[in-house]
Amino acid sequence: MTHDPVRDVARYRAASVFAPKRSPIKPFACARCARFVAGARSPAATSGSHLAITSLIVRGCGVASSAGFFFGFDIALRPSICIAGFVVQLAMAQRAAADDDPVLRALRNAPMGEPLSPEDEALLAEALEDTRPPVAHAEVQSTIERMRREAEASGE
Amino acid sequence: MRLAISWHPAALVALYGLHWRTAASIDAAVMAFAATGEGRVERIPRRPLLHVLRVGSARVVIQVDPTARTLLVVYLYA
Repeated sequence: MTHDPVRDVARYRAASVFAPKRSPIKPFACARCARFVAGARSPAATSGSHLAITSLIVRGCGVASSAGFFFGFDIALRPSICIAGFVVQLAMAQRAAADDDPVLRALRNAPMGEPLSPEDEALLAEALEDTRPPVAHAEVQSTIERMRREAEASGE
Repeated sequence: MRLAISWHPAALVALYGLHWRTAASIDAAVMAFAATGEGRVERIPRRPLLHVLRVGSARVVIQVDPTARTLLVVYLYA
């Protein structure tokens, strides 16, 4: 993948207009081009020097793979992968994966419940301080099954 | 994501003190949540890592570790 600053800035501007607001694809040029974008916006860049943040971006995107993927940092120094000139933030990719998982989605969207009462809080704190190892689910299931058999044997 | 379930001994004290039908229904609710995310779950104020799964009148305090793919039942208010 070649880097043409003029083309990449045009791509950056187009992406800024058309990129969906909630898309994990951020309207930044790729990590190398982020240097140009940052430099163009930086007063220090116009005077021939670069800001420290720009230098960090340049170091972060120093390695390019043969497949055209670049690992680096976006303009806010978040770890990112560049694909075809667009930077996908790794954290956003993880967030997108969490959106696909029903359990994590349920946890994240869970409403705030009522505070625990002082008695419940004390019981919970005591449990959290208990260092005994957790019991595997299979053992719990077998115990419940034994409880069922004992109840049935006693005519319940 | 299917989560591996484990129970804290403190939670088991409460679970084993219940009628077996109630214990089985709580266990089934925990299994369903771990597999599909279904269930009435709430966050706990000042406890960002813990959630409460409500099963009837019981409240099951759970802790999910997405990285390790585990669900630990921390405590049970029966």
